[in-house]
Amino acid sequence: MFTNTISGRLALRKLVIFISSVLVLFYVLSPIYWIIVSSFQKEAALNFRPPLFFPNTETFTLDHYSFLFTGVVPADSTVMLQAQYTMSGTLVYPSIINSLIIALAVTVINILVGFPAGHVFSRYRFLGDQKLFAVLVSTRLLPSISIIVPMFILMQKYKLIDTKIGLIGIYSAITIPFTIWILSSYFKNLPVEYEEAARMDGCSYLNSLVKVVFPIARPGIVAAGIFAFMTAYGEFIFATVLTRTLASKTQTAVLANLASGITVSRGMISAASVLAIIPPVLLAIIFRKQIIDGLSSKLGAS
Amino acid sequence: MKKLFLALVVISTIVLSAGCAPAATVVPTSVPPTSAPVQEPAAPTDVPQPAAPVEEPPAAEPEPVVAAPLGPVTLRFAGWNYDSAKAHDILATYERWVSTQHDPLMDATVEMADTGYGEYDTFITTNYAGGGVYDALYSSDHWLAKWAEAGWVLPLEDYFPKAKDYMKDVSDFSVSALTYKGKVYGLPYYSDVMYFVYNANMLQSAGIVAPPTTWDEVTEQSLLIKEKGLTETPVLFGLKAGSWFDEAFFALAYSEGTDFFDDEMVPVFENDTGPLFTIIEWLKKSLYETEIMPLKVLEMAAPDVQESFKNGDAAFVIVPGYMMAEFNTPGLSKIAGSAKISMMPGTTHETNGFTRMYLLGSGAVEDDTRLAASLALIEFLGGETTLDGETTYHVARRWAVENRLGFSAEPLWKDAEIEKVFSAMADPTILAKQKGLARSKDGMQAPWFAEWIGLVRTEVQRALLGDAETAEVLETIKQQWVDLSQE
Amino acid sequence: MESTTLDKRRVLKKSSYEDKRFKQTTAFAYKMILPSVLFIVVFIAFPMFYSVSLAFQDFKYGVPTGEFIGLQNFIDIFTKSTVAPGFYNSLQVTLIFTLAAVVAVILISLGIAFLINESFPGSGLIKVSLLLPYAIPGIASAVMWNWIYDASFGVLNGLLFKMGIIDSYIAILSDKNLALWAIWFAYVWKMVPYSAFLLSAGLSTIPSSVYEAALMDRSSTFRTFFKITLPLLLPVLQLALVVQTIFALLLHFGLVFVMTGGGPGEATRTLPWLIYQESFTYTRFGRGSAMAIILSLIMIIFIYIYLVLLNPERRKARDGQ
Repeated sequence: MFTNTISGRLALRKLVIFISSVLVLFYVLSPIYWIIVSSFQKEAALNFRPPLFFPNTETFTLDHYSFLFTGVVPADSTVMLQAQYTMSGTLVYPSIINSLIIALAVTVINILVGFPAGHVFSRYRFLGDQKLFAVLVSTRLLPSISIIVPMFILMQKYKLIDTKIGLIGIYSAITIPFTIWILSSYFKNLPVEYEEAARMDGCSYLNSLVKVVFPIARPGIVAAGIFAFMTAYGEFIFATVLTRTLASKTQTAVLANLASGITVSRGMISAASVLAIIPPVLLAIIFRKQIIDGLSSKLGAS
Repeated sequence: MKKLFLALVVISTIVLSAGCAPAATVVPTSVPPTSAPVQEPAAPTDVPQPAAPVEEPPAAEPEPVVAAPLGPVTLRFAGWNYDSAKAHDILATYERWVSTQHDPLMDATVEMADTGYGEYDTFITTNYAGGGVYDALYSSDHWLAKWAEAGWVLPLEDYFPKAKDYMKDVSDFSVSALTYKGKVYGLPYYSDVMYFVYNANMLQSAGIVAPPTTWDEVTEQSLLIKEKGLTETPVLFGLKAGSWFDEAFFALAYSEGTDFFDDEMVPVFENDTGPLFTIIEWLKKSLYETEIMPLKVLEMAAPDVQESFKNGDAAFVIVPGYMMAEFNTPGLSKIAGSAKISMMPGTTHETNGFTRMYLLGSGAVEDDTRLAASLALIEFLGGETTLDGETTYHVARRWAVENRLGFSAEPLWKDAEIEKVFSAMADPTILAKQKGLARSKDGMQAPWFAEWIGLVRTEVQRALLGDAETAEVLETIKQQWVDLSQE
Repeated sequence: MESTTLDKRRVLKKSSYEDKRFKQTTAFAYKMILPSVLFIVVFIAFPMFYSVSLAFQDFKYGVPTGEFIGLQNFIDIFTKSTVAPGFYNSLQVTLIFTLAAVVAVILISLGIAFLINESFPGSGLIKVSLLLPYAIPGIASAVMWNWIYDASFGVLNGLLFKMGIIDSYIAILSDKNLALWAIWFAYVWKMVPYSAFLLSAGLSTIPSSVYEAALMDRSSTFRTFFKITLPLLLPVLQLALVVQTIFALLLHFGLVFVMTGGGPGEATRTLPWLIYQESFTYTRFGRGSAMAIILSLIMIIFIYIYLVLLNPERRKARDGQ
């Protein structure tokens, strides 16, 4: 039969890949598509039944975006926007910058601190290693909402309420255990030979980590880094409660404030959400080589 | 590569050490201050913000010497971000007023922390439970009992006896909203009433001459409207689990004259008869028998109802008064000019009114200057003051005229601008009459009200879903009230 | 998690050299781990302990009463008439949701991981596009899905209506049978991409030579998967299971908060939602913390199941090879 030949199998494989790619792209992108489209449509158009899946010349507008940057209410707005977050609305942009700074710092910290730790957990046995590991992971078991009040107390004592550093610290502490776990399970599958060869050649531990392990550990690092970045970027509960003044809020806090308001403009929130997605996507495009290579490099093929 | 690594390590160390202030002795200060002006956990001085807060040692009693203004003091104020631009502008006006026209003059700046309305309760609760304080803050009638009982807000009248006098000019339902355990706690910010609004054009097209006055008439007219194909969903109420549910539910209950509790906070409603039972049964019938109300009302909050009504999807809705402006503005609504208010159908035509208010935070009593400035702020925001030669409820008027927000201060009805704005929104006689029949929510005076109402939302929704009989549900919520009150 | 062979050697060969090496290793290891531990101690230790201690305190209207009540909070949760029925319901809802979510996320992301592990034209595009659901902040995603599901103007209803599948808009979030699944779908959509990355990173550690050998042996796809891929993938799969379970138990909160508020009726009142209500709406911090501890215990049970269920098999596979 066709599928029993190797070339047949390969051809079938190509077909399966193609169909699944299309399905995956549709599944992943259709809601995103919708939110992008909504952000360019007039508010009135969002109330059509059924709504337009693509804006036509009558319904297309850049008003929502211009409102977010300038605070100028669109002339034909169908929601009483002048009574609406006119200050918070124009803070979407600076809050995105805040979120970016925080997320980048957290990612760097995670990699710096979690990489050696994860490596050590996976390669060595030492006193209390399992217990310590369990303790690290256990810090993630309490929901944020139940530690928010004592966290507030703590941040007050440190005088870190309403600061980026406070959030960086908290997010790092939240993400490091998982980074360590991700990296250590990843390292377990990496052959030890490369490192051992480097050590025997006289490399110090750190040197061998950096020169030998780091390059071949890219997939794990990418996975851990993405996790740390996105967690810090999208965290909502601590950000809402631990920031007070408009200037230091992160984009999750501002978006949450916008969305939970007394009346809501869908177009505006769609535009704000699109703006919020752009930085991570831009970063992904800038680092796409690392990400793409990182997630599919096969050992022995690099 | 190695250099980069070292550089990153150095940078992170600097960042970390800058952030970590000495934290060794972290003893949980779990007890938020009780209402007496007792020593408090160290007030948080925020990381350098534009108006750097500097606390004064307790100032001497303000002497009637004109020269030096008291202070400087920075007030810690909190609110939700409804029209923050205007709110901040109002605060700037306060700062100008208190330093040039108030007696005594004060050098006060206000720092406002704001967040979304949906997160506000969580925000304030976390803040206070975590030992932070505010000098003054927004609040709503359904949070007052909770916050007052916890000592997070103070009885305004104890520090500002004039507050009691203000109550004479405030709508009745607001008076009970602003009072807790017999003391006045705050001054009103925005208060509104749930009105019964109908689409006049739709009724006309169906050949209906006058809006309904009983719930049976609502059913009849809705069926007629449905028959004529004018809409599939003539009746839309906001019954999504959440605070808007409470507004709609109590309005419906009061329309039939329900009394939930007597003066001793004992439940007096019956399980299988009486106004509360009747109205819940009517809702069930409308969902499943007459089908004049769609199931999706269980996921609609008042703003969703507003959107649908503006779109022409419904004939009858129950919404807060401020939405009338948007209903009748051309360009903002498809039914502009057609939205009209009529008295709440039912036996007694009563409805539910809610009040948002300004409260005195427990932080205000840290020193006399702060207290004086905080009281001045609250009076400026919610009371009658003289600004630039004019004496009136300035802030309330501004919110009313510019944003169409309802107000509690009865004297403002005589203001020319207000009259103009509100008559454009709806028939002023009906507005006034319905407001007169408005009641604030029964039971709000109990500190366990928040807990009870959460259970009520779930249970009533279960009745509406057909998961439980109405009588069962009413018995359950009655029992829960009793259990909670006995703790 | 660790193999036992090294431990056996340690027991048998108690030479001073082994001891010395072990101590050296320990010291060295802790030096490497110190910065991580520092972060955790500085930022999380106190809140954790404090939060646990709250569970044993009595709170009345937001203020601790100072009475010592021991386990009363826990007892109340399981027996008190104003709390217990809601609690049991939330257990049920939470468990159903978690199981469904974890299964869906793992299965779908495993499939996607296999896909992106191949290199083919367009695989880069898929990887970047996978980042998008992950990049949307949780709240924005919740609001977006809320509108997609909207019963009056939602695009899902619009799509189904246009395709003729329904003849009038459905109230998805008001339907007690559909609401939880609507939340489940939105949740899975957001969680799949990250899990796919994780599993794909794991897949990439399997040398291609292994697959080539299997292909040469004419091993069917299923056999290759179960006998070769799966065992090799196990550590990362374990990690993914644990992570996704923890997430499923915790991170759906934003969705419930925005979309249903626990309704309709009790259909979406999960345990995290209950914790939020107890702590913040009712200001009963003690009870809220007690519920959080119960939630953590549930998590620990799940984790234990994964680590025990999957481990013996793994050791067997390793020894058998």
